[in-house]
Amino acid sequence: MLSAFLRRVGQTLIVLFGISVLVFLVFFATPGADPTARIAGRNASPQTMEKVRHEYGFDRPLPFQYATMMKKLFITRDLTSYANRGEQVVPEIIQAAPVTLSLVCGSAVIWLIVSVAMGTLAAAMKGSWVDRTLIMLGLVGISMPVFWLGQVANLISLSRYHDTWLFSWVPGPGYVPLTQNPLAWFKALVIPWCVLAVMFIGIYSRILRADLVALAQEDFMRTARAKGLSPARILVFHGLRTSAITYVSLFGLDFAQLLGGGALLTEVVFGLPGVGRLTYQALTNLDLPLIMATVMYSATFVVLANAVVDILYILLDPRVRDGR
Amino acid sequence: MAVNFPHSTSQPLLEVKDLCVSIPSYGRSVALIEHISFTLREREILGLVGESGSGKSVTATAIMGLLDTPGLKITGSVRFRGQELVGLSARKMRAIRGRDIAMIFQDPMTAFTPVYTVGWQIDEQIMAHERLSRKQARERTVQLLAEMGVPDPTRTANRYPHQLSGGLRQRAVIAMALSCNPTLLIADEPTTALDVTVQAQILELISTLRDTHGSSVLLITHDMGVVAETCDSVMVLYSGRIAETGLAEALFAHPRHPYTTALLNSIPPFYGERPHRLPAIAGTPPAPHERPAGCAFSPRCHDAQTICSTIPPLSPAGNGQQAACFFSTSGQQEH
Amino acid sequence: MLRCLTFAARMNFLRASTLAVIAQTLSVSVVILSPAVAMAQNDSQTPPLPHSGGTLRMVAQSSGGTLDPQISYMALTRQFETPVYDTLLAYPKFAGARAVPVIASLAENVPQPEDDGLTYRITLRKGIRFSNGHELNTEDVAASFRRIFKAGSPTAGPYYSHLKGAKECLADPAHCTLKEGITTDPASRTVTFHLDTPDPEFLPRLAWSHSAILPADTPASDTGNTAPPGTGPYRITGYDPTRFLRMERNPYFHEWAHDAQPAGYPDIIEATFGLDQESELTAVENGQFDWMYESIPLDRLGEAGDHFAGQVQIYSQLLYYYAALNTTLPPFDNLKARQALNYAVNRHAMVIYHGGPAVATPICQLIPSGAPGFDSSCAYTKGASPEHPAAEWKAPDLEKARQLVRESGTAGQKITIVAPLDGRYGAMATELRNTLAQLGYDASVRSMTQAVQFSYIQNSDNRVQIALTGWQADYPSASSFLQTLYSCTTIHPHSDNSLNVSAYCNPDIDALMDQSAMLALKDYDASNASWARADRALMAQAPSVPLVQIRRVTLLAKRVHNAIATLNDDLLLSQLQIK
Repeated sequence: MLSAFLRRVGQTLIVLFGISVLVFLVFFATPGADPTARIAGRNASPQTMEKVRHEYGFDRPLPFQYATMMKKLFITRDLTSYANRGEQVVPEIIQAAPVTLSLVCGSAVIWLIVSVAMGTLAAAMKGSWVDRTLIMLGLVGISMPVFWLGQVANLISLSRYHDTWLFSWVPGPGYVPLTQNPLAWFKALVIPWCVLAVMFIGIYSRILRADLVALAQEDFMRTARAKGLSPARILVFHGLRTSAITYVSLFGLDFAQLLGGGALLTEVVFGLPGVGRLTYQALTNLDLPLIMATVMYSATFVVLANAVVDILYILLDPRVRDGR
Repeated sequence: MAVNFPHSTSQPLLEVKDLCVSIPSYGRSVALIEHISFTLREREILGLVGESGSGKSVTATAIMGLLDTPGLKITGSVRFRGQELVGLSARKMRAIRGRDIAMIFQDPMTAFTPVYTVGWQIDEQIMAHERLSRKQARERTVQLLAEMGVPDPTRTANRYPHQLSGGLRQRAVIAMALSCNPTLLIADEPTTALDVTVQAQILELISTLRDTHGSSVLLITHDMGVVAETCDSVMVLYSGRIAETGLAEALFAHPRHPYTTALLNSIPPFYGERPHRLPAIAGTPPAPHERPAGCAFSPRCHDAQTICSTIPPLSPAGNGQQAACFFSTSGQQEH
Repeated sequence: MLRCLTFAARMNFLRASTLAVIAQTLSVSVVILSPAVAMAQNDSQTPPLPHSGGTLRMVAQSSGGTLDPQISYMALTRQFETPVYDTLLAYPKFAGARAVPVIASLAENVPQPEDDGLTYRITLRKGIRFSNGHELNTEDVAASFRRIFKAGSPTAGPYYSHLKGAKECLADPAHCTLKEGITTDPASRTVTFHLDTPDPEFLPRLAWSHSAILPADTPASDTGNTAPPGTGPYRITGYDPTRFLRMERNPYFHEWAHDAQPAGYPDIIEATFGLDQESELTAVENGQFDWMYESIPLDRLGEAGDHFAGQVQIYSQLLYYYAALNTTLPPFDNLKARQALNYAVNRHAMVIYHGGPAVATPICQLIPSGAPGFDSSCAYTKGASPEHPAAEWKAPDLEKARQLVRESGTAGQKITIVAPLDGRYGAMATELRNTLAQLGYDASVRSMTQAVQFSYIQNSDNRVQIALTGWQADYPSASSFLQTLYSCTTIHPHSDNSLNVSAYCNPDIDALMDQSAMLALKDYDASNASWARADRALMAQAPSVPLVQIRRVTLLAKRVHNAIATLNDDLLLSQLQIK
């Protein structure tokens, strides 16, 4: 058990190292990415440029710069942004994390419940118009780009129909912390939750339905029916429970990458100061420290999620337990 | 006409009359099985024999009401203890399934849901049909497993299906099927997927069920050897129709249908010279939509005549046997 | 107060002499103290202006960057710092033709150039306090100018290197003294600037925000998220560059020159960062914010004009878009090819892409309308030529363009346009591409994100043939358009910082530009006329293709009034009144 855990930790570190090196190299390989001119300011004299170059260490060799950046990011945790001098990136991300957490968790709850309901219903009524409608709705959900949907949601709820009773409660863009005002927190997040969930509902309901339909052909489902169990019980206890294995592993990975800042378009459109929006700003400004920090943050989540999903897999599927 | 079991005079347990199952295929209705009629008495073991595609499983699943292909049509009558099963409401059918009629299937490896323990799944069946607490259900489960010859039944009940060997799993399947004391057990090729030694044990188990549990068994198989060992009476199916029925002994001694004869001939001899090639019946059974107009076996039959282009009715052929052949009463090769 | 004095005076007759002495001493000290008391009362309670009070909430998309006024180069941040910091001189805080040239702010007077422009003498105003209570003195001024070099301000080189000792300071900022460049006399509160070479733009540069006067003890490095104390009517009390900025009143402020730094109306100014333009507009329409920093997105201009016409703010700015032609690479190393593109481009189409004539105007020269030295002329339109320019652009002349291309012999060459990805640049780039294709070139567009593109096109290593970009002057001056972009001295090969993207170097025109600049020391109007001539001379060589000059279009909330926007300072936040 301990050796497996240690092995996992080792793999994680290797993956994170690889990603950090890749980000670093890609940044410096991008033409025009040299931050000196941007930091020094436009029309700065060559002496000022030299000063900046020396101060930030851009005249040192790349491996040295990499090591310095990693030290500042992980050990001393005082890595500062290039675009906003004086802004330390680690506290910035820590501050932004709860926002993303609120957005993603709420959205995940919605997409979990709705996709399971839709997928199960569609599978149970396979072939009927209910099934076909649900599947088509799912396809529509997948096809809508989230930033477009977000803008349209804003347009409808804040601009065109803001005065009607339906949308007059919608607050302006922004985030209210849960500890500050739970009701305002909720009101500000309801629409972003739904918008973010739409695409995932589409994907997951279709996956679940396909899984359940495929399972219905399995021998053990036939056995369950021969046992005289009710269709509902068969669907839930035998069908859903078995398809939960695939569902949970996919869910875990998607959830993790969203937590790590994958919901950036949603955050930007709704003005939520989360990790995703930080990533977006970092990329727009070509701010290497912030890019590195957000990428590391995201990568950590994904790697952790992989580990958690593996554990869940063992818990959910007894066949895997004896395989080791 | 019912087959009379010499010892019993009680009302038949299962009475199937003119059972037909057809599905829409290639634009028209194709019959999977046609005019299947037979009777099963209490504590009787009836063997249902035929090649793959002959309609054995269809018959069994039709009786259980487990067929659900869209567009399926079932006509005829299936009376279980006097109750008509064809057209019965789904809810009532579920009450009978698992409790009065139980079915086990060919492949024990995939019969259980992989995510639950064997004990949990047997408990589930018990609690679905009877008002017992989990503890009481588990007691009965362990007892059943012990009766099936499972070593250490308490531990085995807490194991997952993939942790048990094939033989153990099939025993557990049978235990699960018997958990509510059904009067009829339908076993669809229960030993085909097992190796020979285990096969023998399972067959032994099945043949004693009528004494231990008072159940009748409808045993579906393609193996004449299994039939000879366990069954009281036999029904031979070919291409969705009954070829011959009769008591096992009589049928084996005097087969009345060319197909039955051919089947028996295809068993390699136990003594004597080893044949160069395994004896086989030339040709293959027709697909349901390509069934010939008359006797389905005529294309492969040595003695086919022109009259065979009309469907031969199932007629008595002496010794309690019935055969669907125009030449059934003429003497056949002694075996 | 008067009553006390009268009472004391009366008492003098009735009491003993000791009391009289005491009373006299008291009355004298009261007289001495009263102006100070009065001033203290003024400091803490400036009689409130009518319509003052409330919290102004504005919203912006990008983050704020550094708050150090001597380093910050973002237009957004500079807008916040306008009512927080002051310079010795300032551009007047009202719009209109008289808004140029500079007037006195922290200085009592606008200095006249002495010794042929090598010496400038100013007297510092009295009684001005920073937001931390420290009173402004000459040492603060000297320290602030030293700090420009020590902290590494971007304009230390370009704007302030005429000062004596500036070159040493550029080379070794840590030991910068400027002891010859700036001399002070604390008793008379005079500060004298000594220059190595005359700088005709020295006065506007004393009004430039990087020369903001800060307390002498301000650390000599980029202050980042902390705002040093300032002398303006507001002080910055909270800042998170990606989230918000908060300004409150400076309790020590009193108005010393209304036109230079007027008192503010709102009690608190708050800015929220990070919203995108569409959301910003909707929020301002709904009254959730009072002002959006970015321009109204093109697709909502109609909506704003239809439903919120009274709240829309349109004002001019010294900003235009142009395509810089690399004069060292084919095909644009050929004059005729450059002129051909200038004739062929459809500037009206460019106007449409930016929202139409109300918001954009075609520009056909290098100094934009509103800047000193502007004299409307267009050499590259139908019926005009560099020898006989028309007054303004009318229509493209494709025929003449094609003829020029034929004469140049460059037809069929491959051209890559490097353009930023963002918004309207895409439409302009496509339009340019099509125009080049019509002229017979094999043209394509290469887009990259704006942050990268601006450095990319400046670096000669990248061999960019034609770059689509924009330019906004730091302050209203002809030199910041002509000299900064087309003089030999702003070419730095192999560097990301080479603002003369066209790499155009013509010593004769450089001499004309220097001459025009020098004239400003003596005769402002003659200087402007000379700049106009330089403009036409440059355009005759067509080092770039000016396209369109843009006006700002933003939306104010309903409850906000008194919007004043100047050419130098954008919208004056401190002057907005909340009802």
